Amino acid sequence: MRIRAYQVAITLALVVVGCAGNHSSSKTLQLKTEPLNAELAQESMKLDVPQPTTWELKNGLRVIYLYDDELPLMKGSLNVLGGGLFEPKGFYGVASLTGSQLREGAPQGFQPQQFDALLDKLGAAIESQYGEEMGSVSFTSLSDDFSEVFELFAKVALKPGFNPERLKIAKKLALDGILRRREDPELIAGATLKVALYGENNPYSSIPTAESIKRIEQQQLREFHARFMRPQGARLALTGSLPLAVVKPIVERYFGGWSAPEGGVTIASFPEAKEAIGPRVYVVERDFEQATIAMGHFGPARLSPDQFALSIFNRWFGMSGFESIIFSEIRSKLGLAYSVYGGFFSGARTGTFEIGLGTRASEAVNATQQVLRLIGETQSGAPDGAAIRNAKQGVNRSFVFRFSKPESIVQRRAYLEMLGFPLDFDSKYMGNIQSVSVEDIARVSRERVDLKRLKIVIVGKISSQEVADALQQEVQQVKFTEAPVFGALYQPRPKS
Amino acid sequence: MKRLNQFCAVVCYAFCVTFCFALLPLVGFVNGPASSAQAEQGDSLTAPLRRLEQGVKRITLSNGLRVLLYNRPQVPIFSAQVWVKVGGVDEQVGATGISHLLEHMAFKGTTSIGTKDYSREKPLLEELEQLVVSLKPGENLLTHPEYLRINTELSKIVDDNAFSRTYQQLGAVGLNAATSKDYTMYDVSLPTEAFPVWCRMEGDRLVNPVFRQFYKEREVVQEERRSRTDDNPSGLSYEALLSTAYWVHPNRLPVIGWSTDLKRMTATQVAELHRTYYRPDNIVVSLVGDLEVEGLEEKLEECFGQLPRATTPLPEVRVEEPKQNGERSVVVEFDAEPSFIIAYHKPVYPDPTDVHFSVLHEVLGGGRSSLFNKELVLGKQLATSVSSTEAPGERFPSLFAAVASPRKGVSNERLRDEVQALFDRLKREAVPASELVAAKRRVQVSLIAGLADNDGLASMLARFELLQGDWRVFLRMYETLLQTTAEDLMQLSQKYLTINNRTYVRVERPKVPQKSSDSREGKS
Repeated sequence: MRIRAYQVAITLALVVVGCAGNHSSSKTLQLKTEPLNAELAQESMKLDVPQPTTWELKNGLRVIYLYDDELPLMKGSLNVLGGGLFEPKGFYGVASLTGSQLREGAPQGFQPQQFDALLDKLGAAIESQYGEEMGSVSFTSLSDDFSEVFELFAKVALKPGFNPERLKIAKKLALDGILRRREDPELIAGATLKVALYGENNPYSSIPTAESIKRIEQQQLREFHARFMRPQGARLALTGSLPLAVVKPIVERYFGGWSAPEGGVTIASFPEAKEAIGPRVYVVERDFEQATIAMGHFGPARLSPDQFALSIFNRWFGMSGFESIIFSEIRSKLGLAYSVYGGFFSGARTGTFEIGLGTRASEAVNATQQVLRLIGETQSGAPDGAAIRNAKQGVNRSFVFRFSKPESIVQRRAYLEMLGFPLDFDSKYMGNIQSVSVEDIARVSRERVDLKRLKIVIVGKISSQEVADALQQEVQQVKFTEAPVFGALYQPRPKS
Repeated sequence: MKRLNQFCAVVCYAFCVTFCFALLPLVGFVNGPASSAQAEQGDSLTAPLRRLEQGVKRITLSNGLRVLLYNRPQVPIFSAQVWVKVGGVDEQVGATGISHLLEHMAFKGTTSIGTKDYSREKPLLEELEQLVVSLKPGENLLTHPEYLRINTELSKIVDDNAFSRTYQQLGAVGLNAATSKDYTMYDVSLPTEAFPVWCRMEGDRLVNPVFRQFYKEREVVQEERRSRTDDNPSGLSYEALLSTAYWVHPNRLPVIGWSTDLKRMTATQVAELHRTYYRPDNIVVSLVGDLEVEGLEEKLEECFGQLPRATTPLPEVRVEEPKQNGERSVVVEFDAEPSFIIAYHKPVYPDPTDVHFSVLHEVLGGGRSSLFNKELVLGKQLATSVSSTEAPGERFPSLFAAVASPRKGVSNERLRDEVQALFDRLKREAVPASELVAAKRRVQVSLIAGLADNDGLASMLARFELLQGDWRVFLRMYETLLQTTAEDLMQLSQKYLTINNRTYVRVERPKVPQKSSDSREGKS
């Protein structure tokens, strides 16, 4: 039933080398699954997924469309670069408020209540948000109502009303939310680690406070949004059951006349960051029975030449749950944590290497030491070749899931283009992953992970002095009410 | 039919991200050709359901195990789920949390996956069980010299996480499992070329499981309990809700288990539970995605048909909760901002009222113009959030609940009375026809959208087939929903949303003055 015209399949034949023989570990496993697995590996790896159509409007807006008629729906989003990393000093929270109020505050010419009721009646949804690096306005509608909903969607994005009453309520709710932060140990640990890494009053570490929220008015929302919402560099990603011939003129009707001054945000204008100098260990003394531990230091940006090696490192070391060595060691072997992960997180200009886990407060120091020991062993020994090969297979075989739904296909295309990935990124991806060697992983472990630089945050029922003594490290005590505030420094007492 | 994820209604193996997924298609399913304009709409909207009805294939294997298939060949991937009808309601005090612990153990491998030599491993595992039962009160297993010796031997044989690792090597996504009051489910999505391996692995873990590394996993589950419940005000208040609203029925027990029960659980008990409930007539498998695999049905028979038929009847839950007479209330002291739950006993399917409650959820909290948001968040500005949900399950009479957080300076009591006043208004005034039509349409769209997802569809199919006996109950409930009227909503409000039938759980700060703002003095 599907119209194949819009689905040009790309097929990638990849010869997977060296998978059939030489399975050193897990001998018995071979009996049951390895032969089947090896058969799989010898087949060519194909990526056979639908391809979207793209075009560009006169104002520079790029549109990405994938026809899919399984359900009588249309979905889409307008994506722009820009967000929390661009908040002016002292106005932290303006990104999330602008994001929510685009939709919540209704477009010009509508009362918010009237706008809510209109969409609810159509069974349609329009949502909006600004994250750290990107913002978006998105919609879902029945295909029959597409033209009507799309017009409203365009108005939300391009002609926001930012209703002052709704903004007032949103600010009050944000203030209430700030009060609830101190109940959330993961938020506390994450926010403290960020300040430890980037320093205070930095766009990468700052979170909204009562003071900054109170300062934000409609004017700040307008200015913030206008800075990013420009056709050049934006991507409109659409999918659904209407033919391209129907969609194209409707897009032109509502976005063709959109104009804005040149000079929006580019990747080059993202703020740079410098790793802060300070104590290594931070303790937030709180009565949580379960201690939450976060560790980290700086890492490479997204488009680093090591990006494929880092993907494999992440999968092997700590970002794939069960398969990863940190999970196997800390959870399965030692029973110290329910949730544990570690790996590289990358942004446009900078990134981090981070580890996170939860453990009972009495084991917090032990669990920390076990993680440090594991990293040390990872760096000194050679990675297990079979494990790296498995990680590569896993990454390549699961690659197809990035294209599992029509909306993920168009959304992925939008992100790759906006974030400056090369045009052939997807077609070369599996080959690039396949080229990662065991030596590459050993090298990134040694060069990109630095035990001595790793900052450690512990939140829970534990005393700063106790941690200082046990780790023989200076400890920065941190108070957390609405944001981390550094308190006293504790010196380790010599071991008796 | 609607459950919220702030409730720990389900506990998961890895991270509880899948469980809202599992419930997603159920959040809504109402249709509303109540006017002529809607009737036209109804056609394009019911077409996907008709296609679904025609497309789903049910296979019954030689041992009675049921498999549901839905082919969607556009992308060469599929989602697979194995659902077993065993959960919290099948447990007793003394062994609460055992279904969930078994769910964790199902990732430890089989007689051939996860071991380098099962013939050497088996006697060591038996020795370990003997040691466990011989422990004196107060003796710590994990530091016992015998345990350490056995464990050292075992660690030379065990291949850690081999089961999950094999899956991930095959390109698996969303490998997880979840346990609720009513069921245990195992979930994975794979490239279609991995189908034969999936089939053998899942069959193997049903037929030949080995519960190795049990006593470490028991520790992991206690970590899970601490972070999800003990340090979490909403986890604690949910646990308090169930033990207050239910006096007799096992719905009162926490799925994750009481701490003292977890500490005493043995691998032998878990193996016993597996023998009792993991049997062909108590399991449903669902597969959605690109299923164009040669000899698919023969392979399914080969992998899952080997699970022996059970000859004894399944244990039944015979306990019935007596009718609640009068409001119950409980306080959870926690150093947190105030919040509360009010909950009311309600029937479950096949009682048609169950379906009417789905419409009520949408009218109350489904869109931005729905009652809760319009009246309490934006209008009177008394709440930071109010939502409605259902818990804990669907095999036995359950609860309709409103969960709310008051704005700073507003007391729990004040907001509770306002929520109750909205319910009381529903008893007197009919929901306006336009609102009812809009609510039905919204749910319909969200239902249709939910079908797009392989994993979500696999959940819906297995869930209804296992818990209601036939996945097409989903379609029947949908038909009932089409006919829900304002009168139905009024009647259910009058009958169920009464103070007599209400349980009120509130989170309050401890009354004792605090030594410092950073410490908590006690909690319930």
